Amino acid sequence: MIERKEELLDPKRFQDISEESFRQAEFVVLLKKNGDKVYNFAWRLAGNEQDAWDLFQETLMKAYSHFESYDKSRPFDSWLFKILQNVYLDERRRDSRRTVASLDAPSPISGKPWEEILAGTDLNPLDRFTKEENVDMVQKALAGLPPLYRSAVILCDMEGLSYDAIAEVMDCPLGTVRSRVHQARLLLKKAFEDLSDTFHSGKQLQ
Amino acid sequence: MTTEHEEASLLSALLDGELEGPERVRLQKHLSFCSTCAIELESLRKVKMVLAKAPKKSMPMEWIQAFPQALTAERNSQKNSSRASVFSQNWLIPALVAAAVSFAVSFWIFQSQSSFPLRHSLSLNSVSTPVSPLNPSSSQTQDNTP
Ligand SMILES: [Zn+2]
Repeated sequence: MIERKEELLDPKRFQDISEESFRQAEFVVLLKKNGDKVYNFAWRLAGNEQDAWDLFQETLMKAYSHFESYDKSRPFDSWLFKILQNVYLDERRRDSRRTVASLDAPSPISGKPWEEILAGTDLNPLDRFTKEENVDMVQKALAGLPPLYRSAVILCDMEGLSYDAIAEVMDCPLGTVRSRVHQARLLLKKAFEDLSDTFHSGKQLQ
Repeated sequence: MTTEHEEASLLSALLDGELEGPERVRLQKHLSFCSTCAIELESLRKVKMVLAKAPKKSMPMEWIQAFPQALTAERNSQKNSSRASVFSQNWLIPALVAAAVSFAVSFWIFQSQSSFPLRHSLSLNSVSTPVSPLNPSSSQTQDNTP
């Protein structure tokens, strides 16, 4: 049976198939090792599971189809982060229904311009959050950031990447990374304050 | 020594361990007498902590297990449109079917402890979150054996 099958198989084609299987196996091994971080990045970037799921899948398909260009001496997670971020930004650009937040646009956090939000920096209401409140607050606060700030701060504080690694993922100079991370934190701090106020005043009303 | 504040983003860099040499020394010196910057650094640290401690999501494992199969399906659908001649080979279809069946069986055995249904349909267009509580109706099981 096996002998007959081998007779039928064109050796060249057989080689193609096994090479492909080897490539797939190699990709899956790397993915199993690094996938959690990348999926988490997708979730935090997209803001919900459904979008994260779509984003993650498209990233994997794209990554696999360009797997030859992956430099094996470089970290696989950074490579995937980069593809994911590009897929995300492309999608946002394509999607005309969504307006891309910029520093000029009013903040979705409180409807105030970013400059105004950045100005105030007192108090720290973060200690007032419980664990459950935190999950929701973090996601909401992140959603209010301009995409590039969001990416930078997620990669830095949630994924633990160095500025060097972030610069590579985001294709920008180190100084830009530093500034994006910093601005993101200032905006998040303000967002946490606003969300906390909303939450606690809502609680008092009930 | 200057009483002027340093560039604010240096505080974040210091916090992230990304500030070295004279810049670091200068900022630390400044922080030792400037309470405004020290307070600002503390509030940035808190934001960083909140993010660092925030819960993480793991990738859905059952999809990763089936990823090679999804790729094969994707590849075949591309070949089907661009290089239809490949499918004129009599051996290829039975071989693919046999491969798919054996994969499905071994995958099913492997996954039998899990409560998730086996998913075959994993092409880009047709997949939605199989384990998402937001989308419980989406996890329809499709069998790819003809
Ligand atoms: Zn100062």
